[in-house]
Amino acid sequence: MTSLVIEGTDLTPSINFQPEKMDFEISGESRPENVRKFYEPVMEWIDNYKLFLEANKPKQGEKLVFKFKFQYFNSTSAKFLTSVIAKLDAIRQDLLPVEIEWYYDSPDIDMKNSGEEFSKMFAMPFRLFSIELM
Amino acid sequence: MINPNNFTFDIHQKMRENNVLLAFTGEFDMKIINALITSVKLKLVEVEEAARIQKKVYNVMVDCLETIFHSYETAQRKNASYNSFSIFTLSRDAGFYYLISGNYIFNDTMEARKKQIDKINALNTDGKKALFRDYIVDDTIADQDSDLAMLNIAIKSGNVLGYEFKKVDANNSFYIFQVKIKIL
Repeated sequence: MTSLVIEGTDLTPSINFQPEKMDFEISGESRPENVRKFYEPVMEWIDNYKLFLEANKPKQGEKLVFKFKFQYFNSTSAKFLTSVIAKLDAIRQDLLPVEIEWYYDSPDIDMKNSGEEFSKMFAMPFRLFSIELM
Repeated sequence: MINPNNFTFDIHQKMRENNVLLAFTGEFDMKIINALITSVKLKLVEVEEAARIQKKVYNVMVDCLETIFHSYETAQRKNASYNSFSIFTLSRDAGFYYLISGNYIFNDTMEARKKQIDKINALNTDGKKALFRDYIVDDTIADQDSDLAMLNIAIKSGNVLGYEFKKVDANNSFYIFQVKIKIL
């Protein structure tokens, strides 16, 4: 399975999915002009990755680490992030442990709350990290 | 016509008296919105010591500006004669930051807009969060992206959303939307 790397811009986040290392990261700002157009290939990649995992059973003890490091995401992006997390939840339930790490800029209480909300929505524990992003 | 020098001086004085940090009037396209977002980010670093408030004002402002843009897009799809001349101001006093937008809307959409804001204002914080969750998992509940943005603004600002409609003519009103953010 090939990795997925998308350079970030002022409006769109960086995507760095490294399946070999089981390391996945979305970071930066997310307020694309066309949110659907940006996130659809990302979601399609995750769907294909799930199929790949189904065909290539993960080894005992393996886990997937997915990191969100947003400086900002708009409300429309939240809809697509919900879909991304739902796909991760399906992988977690069917295939292997998934650990979600949610990073937020230390003064950004709204970003912290968003992580807590997503965690609650999917009854999925998130590890929250306060860092300096600015 | 009003003397343009006097007019400019009056605006300048009024902006100073009302502690306006930024004001823009014109057509809001994505380029303008991005330029405003960058300006506000820099301005907040200059005027606001509390990083927490800087972040909150920034988060709410982006959704406010995008809401103007969504309204503009939606209205123009409905009717090409839509007047897209809008305004956005950011000001502060000792207790609050004020983010105020103004844009034209068609009179026949006014009631729906009122209902939408009143519905959000009637909810407590948990109710707003629950509705936001419903909106993001089910595309059919929210009418458009602006519903979601409006709810997000209410959650993040932690205050009642203010609004007023100034009737302009038989077809149009000027819709003023106000968000307050408490300076802690």
